[in-house]
Amino acid sequence: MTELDHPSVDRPTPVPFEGTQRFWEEASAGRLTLQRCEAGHVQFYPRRHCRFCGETELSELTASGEGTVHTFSVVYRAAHDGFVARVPYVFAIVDLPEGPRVTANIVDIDPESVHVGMRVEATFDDVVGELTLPQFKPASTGSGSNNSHLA
Amino acid sequence: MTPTRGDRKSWSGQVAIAGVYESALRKAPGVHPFEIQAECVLGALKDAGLQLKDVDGFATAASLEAEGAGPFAVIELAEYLGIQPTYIDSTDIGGAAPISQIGHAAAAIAAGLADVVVVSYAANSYSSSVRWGERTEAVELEGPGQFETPYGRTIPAAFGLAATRHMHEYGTKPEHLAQVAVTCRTNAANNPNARFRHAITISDVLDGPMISTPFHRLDCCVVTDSGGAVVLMSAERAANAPKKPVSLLGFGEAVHQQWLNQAESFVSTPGLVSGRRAFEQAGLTPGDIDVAQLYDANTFTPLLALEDLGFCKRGESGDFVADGGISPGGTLPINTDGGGLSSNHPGRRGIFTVIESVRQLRGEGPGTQIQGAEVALAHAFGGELSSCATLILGA
Repeated sequence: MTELDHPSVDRPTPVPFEGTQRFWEEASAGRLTLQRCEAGHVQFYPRRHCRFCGETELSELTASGEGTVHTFSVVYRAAHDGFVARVPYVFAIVDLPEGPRVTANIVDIDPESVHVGMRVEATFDDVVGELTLPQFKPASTGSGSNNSHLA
Repeated sequence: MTPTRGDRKSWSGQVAIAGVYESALRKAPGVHPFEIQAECVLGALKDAGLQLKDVDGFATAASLEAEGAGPFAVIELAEYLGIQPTYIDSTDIGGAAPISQIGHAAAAIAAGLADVVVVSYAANSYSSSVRWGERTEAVELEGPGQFETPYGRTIPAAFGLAATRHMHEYGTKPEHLAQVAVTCRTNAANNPNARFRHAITISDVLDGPMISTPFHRLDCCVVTDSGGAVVLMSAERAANAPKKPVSLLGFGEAVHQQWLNQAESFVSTPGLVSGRRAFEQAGLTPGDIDVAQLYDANTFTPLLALEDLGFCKRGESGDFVADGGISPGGTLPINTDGGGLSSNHPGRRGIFTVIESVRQLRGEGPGTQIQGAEVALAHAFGGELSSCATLILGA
């Protein structure tokens, strides 16, 4: 059991548009996707151009799913009704080895045990409406990777 | 002196604030924010010896929850007040917006686009039942916010994770944060309108309920119903004003990001840029500042501001505060009216950082008056580490 076993229908739900549809489709399949431009920049969140150089030829990059907690805050007072039942929860910024950062909750761990620099891995169990919300949990010992990204 | 194209320094000293007004309100259920704006605009004009008919420029930001207007806020407020301005600004960069609008107005006055500009702000955040962010959430979820909003971002959490990173990198302690709250409360003691005036200790702060790590309740600003306004004009015209005008010496603004997952740093902010530009324009350095109002949405933002503006080295703001640097007798007294942490915070504290700066330079500070203050600095953040605006003022 995790703190994710609560009704999730009341949480703010992403509304995909054409440019983000691919990300959410891949997330439902257990994969975290980023974009790479012709000049080699890797970005998140998806856009129609590279935010670093303006290049419009972008290709998809499937992330390893590994990450490191860059920083976080444990929320004890929720602002949104959909989160009241989840308090305390961890609101975090995770560094990906591919370059970008993502926002996530750190799950499957006592919130007070989360620390900066902690190794985490992506998990795809959090279903909100019809979408899967990528989250991060403590990296398993050893390689710390899951195999959901294998082609 | 005729402004030279591209020469920012040209309007330094050419524009003044001739009138200010902060509402005495803090809890005002049933009062609409427009009514508070009108009280403040009329009060600031009276302070400047003027009337509504003298106003040809107007700026406000009032399209968020508890601010009373929609997207055409500046039009609706102008109508409510009874003016039809020919210089208009509703720049919205969050809590820094009023400082930004003041900087823009100064450039406009120097360029001859306006003679008398009023910049005002009000909100009824204490009494309003609408949650901050509620009106914009649907739009956020349809855009880039879909990658952050679903994870339960709150304002304290956004600043909290920045504070957490700062503590990790530099050893900043909860006691350092708490000291900021204690200092602001000390300054609020004599301010008759401050929301909270009774003294608190570091233990009071650290023993309080946790809101979002590392912030306890007293690490977070008050929430009020209130407002404020300032009146700007040329220095030449201000010389005839009934009260001592305050000269605008330097201004800077900068925008970095909206969503935290796009931030390059959580231990520095656009204040690095806005501060540098303001000091450059004014031809001054941090050592020249006698008193500073550093927007305190929580106890951490002033620490960031101290570092970004160059009052201490990166990472050393905790020690600076622990050594008494920001107290009334310290190197750089801050938030002399009690700040957002103890006096007033209806939403965009930027306006109050400027009002208090003017009051300090006039010798009219309602909380702690810094004797002989001649150069003041007002600095505000917008959003969560998203934007900053800095204003330097001189007696």
